Amino acid sequence: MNNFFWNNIFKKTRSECELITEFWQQTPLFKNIPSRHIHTLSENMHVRNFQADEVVFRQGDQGAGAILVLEGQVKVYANNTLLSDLDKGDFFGEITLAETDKRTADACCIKRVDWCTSSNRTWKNGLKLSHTWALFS
Amino acid sequence: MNFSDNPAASGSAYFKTFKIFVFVVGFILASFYLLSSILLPVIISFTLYALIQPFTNYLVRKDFNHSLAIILILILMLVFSILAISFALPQLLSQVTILKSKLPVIFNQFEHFLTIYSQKLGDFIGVDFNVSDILVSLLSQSSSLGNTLLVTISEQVFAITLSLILVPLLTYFILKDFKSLRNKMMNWLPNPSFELGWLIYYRVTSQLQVYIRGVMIQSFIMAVVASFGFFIIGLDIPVLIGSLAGLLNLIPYIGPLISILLAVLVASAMTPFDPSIIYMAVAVIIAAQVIDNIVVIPSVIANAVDLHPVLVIVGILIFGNLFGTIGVILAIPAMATAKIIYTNLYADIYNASQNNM
Repeated sequence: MNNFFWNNIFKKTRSECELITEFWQQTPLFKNIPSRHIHTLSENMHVRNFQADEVVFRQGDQGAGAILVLEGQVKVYANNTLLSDLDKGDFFGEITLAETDKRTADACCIKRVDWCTSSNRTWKNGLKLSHTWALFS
Repeated sequence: MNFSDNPAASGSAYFKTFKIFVFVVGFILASFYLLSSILLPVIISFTLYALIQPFTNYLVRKDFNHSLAIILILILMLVFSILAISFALPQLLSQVTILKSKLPVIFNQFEHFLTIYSQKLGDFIGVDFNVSDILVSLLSQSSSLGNTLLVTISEQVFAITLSLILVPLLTYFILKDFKSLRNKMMNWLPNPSFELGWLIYYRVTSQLQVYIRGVMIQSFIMAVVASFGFFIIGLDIPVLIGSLAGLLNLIPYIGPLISILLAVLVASAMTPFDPSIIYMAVAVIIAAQVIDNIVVIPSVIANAVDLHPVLVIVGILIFGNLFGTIGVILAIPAMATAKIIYTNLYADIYNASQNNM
């Protein structure tokens, strides 16, 4: 069913998916997970562009998933205390994947940022992909 | 959620939420209006999508190709449907024929009942009812209604044929491409609303999936229980009336009442006339409702929708008036969806207003 029209309208470009897969593969969360499973997960992740000084989320906001920094720099604060300074390849907001749908800190872009987000349902579906993923369920 | 600690913030949040809510609901209703000519096949296809998707997901997890998994499940469903129809259709058709032959008796019996009880009521309150006049007027109206219905059905033949062709095609493409299309559309959301949009989407779809699956199972169980009960008490055409009771169960509160009326009418037309069978037919529907409320609803549709009964009845009447039979069935999921959208929008806007203070 490889159709030029449908592929171009509905599919992510291969390089974008591969880039996201590559980044996630380097995080501790996806250590020892087969790349084809991460690739399947990456197909349902969303790339967003944020400008410098733009707020990604605030403490108490409802959050839908974890965020991976593809490019740029993000600072995460809780009660005006800097918690972490994130760079290309780092991820944050993973608490909403497991515990609560409320953001527990503020996140603000320092440089222009491209990030990709992965919702908790994508993760839950992904967890069922392989028995090796039972570790996270 | 407690929003009562800051009245000013909650008041302004209510207003902002209401504006966005009206826009979102308006957009959804406008889409429904634009799709109104193909609304039925679209709804059936999305219902099938909700039912089939877990099976295709399971096959994909077992390393099946996605398109192949969809085709396999659709073929299995088609074979199962053909088998079920070829088994049930002759039975149902023979029962419809029996019902058709009994209709005049049912109407006579109905008139007889009405005359007796209206006389008793008239004697009691001291007013003289002329039931036969009322009945003649009602029957003439119902026969003209029947003619209108026949004309409407013949007009709908094209729409039904279109649906038969569209449903499998739409279901296939929804199963195959809906997620990608949805992702593209969600990407149109601005950054501050992006996560909230997904959250609302997930909550709405989770609730709708639970509701659709629950209602299907509930109707099936009701149909089986009622058919079995009618068969035991010796009611005529038990499978047809039981199946109708199952279908009518889709309409909360009002549906079971119509089921009781149907069962009473059929029981009253039986020869020789036996009043005890009327009471037993009513008892069967009530028993089925008790099983439904005690066993089926808590285990199958528990927490799928959390709406006040008055709101449900008013909603059914309004949606029924706006969109006809489809509206009656869509009323509850539509109101549940509106409730999720409103509460999530409000929670987000309230939190934003608190952060800005």
